[in-house]
Amino acid sequence: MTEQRTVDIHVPVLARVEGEGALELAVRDGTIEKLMLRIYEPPRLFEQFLVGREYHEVPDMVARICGICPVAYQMSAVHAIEQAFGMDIDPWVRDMRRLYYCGEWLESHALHIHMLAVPDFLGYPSVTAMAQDYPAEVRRGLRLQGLGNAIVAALGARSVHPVGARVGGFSRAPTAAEARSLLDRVREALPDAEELVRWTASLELPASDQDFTTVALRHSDEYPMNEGRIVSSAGLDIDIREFDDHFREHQVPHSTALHSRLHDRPYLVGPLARLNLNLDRLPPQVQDLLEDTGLSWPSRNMFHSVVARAVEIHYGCIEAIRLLERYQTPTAPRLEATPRAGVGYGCTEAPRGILWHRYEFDEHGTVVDSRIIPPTSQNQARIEQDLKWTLEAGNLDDDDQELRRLCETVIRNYDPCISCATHFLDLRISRR
Amino acid sequence: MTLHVVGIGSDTGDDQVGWLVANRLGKRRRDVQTFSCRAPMELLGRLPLGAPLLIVDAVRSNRHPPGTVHQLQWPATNRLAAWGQPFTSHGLGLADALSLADQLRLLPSPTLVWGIEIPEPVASPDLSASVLAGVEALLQAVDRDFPTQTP
Repeated sequence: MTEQRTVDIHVPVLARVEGEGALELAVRDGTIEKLMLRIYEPPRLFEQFLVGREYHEVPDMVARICGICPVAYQMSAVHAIEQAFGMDIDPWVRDMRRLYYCGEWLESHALHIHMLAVPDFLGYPSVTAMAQDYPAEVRRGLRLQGLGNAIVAALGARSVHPVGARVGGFSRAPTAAEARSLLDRVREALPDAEELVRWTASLELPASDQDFTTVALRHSDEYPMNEGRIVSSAGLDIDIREFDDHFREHQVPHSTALHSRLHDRPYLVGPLARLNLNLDRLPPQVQDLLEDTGLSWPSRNMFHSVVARAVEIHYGCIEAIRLLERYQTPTAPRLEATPRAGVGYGCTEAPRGILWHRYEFDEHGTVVDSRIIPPTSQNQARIEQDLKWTLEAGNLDDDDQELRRLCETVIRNYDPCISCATHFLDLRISRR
Repeated sequence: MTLHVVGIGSDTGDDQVGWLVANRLGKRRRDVQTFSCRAPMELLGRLPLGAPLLIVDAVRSNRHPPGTVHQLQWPATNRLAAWGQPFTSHGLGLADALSLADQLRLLPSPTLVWGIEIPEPVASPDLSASVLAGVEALLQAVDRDFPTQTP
């Protein structure tokens, strides 16, 4: 009979994720006794910073929550504010908000694929080490990330913490020449995006077949970004205003981020959830390339998230081309807002999954109450569930170094943004 | 010869020191081309640039008084790491960006990194007096090491 080890592992700082977190794992007689994803980054209290501020200050303030997905924060906020004020945005603004989101998906996904996730799958400690053997692939990633940044900057004035988004539209419309130049760059990048899908699909990813619930937005006729109903693989189909009727946030002692559950169960948000639930909303070019990969969709292998991110980069390029080909300079880049008392909800698809906002305003447009539920706090319980499944699938006898590597790979695969959730890895393994 | 200067930072407090140096060099010298970025990884999207390349950033080593000017010539990963942990997203700091750029053969030679030690960050739009003194010292050092060449 094989002796079952007792293990205590503590990963004190999780590398290659955004923010500060840790993992504590205790194994007794071959059984996981404790598994906690500890998020110890101090609470940032952004929701309370917003109370008492004017509505027009909100988009710039929430952009500061995250250096990687500021567009998502701005978009969830402006849609919530516009709903509260009863505003209907015009088609130009709607198009440009999708283009703005394409930029963020390209920038964030290209960073995660090349800098954070793929080094794990190819066995390198960092992207710098990987670049020695895969220079062309890393250069391709940098080009795609740079393109994403350029799209964000075209509408947001800068790529990090952009300032161009406004309630009702944007501060400034790109000129026709700027739009043409951007269109040329996206067209040039399309072969890179196609090759990236093929490359990620060819990676030898760990086998994994898990049963999990996926949650994403779903729109009547397009791949979701700024609009849609919240749907799940378990049959949920609700208006974003009904979020609180089905999702519950609760505090856990080991984390400064709230955990969120759907009908008291963990769930997945993000690229894999979005793709699994919206395959039929992809344009034919993207569907054809996805079929060519030979992978089966929808997928229950969490590691296919890296392929899903590449698919969304490809989609982002095709959507950006579509939007830029019909670009026309508007008479005004935004509608003026008329504040009124009320409550508004916004839910958009951040690179890491749905980002839900709720604001209450007084008659002057001052924030009376705000709630922000970021994707990483929604994924935390799911990450712990995945870690448990992965470790119990026959990996508990691995040595501590291998266990730590495996746990970090699982966690990084979710591209957690701890600074957003703060509400990340310090692994403590205890074996007895 | 054109001097390429990259300021890294933001537009507030002492963190703006990289931007300020790039801006002042760009205004006082016609042989300087500058740009500013917020995160070191943004630099990668702008490479390759010509030589010499000067990168200016704020430093928090806690081992030197505010305003101290640091200088190193790349590659000097260990010395750069000694300046302190990077204050940047995903832990991808200047040393990571330069190491990756070097691995991809995107860095010109020489590439120099200049840092100015800043004090504990506070909520202020302005630079502190000690850091402003460091800016002046750095500008003079650049003029000394890279004098404007007359045709």
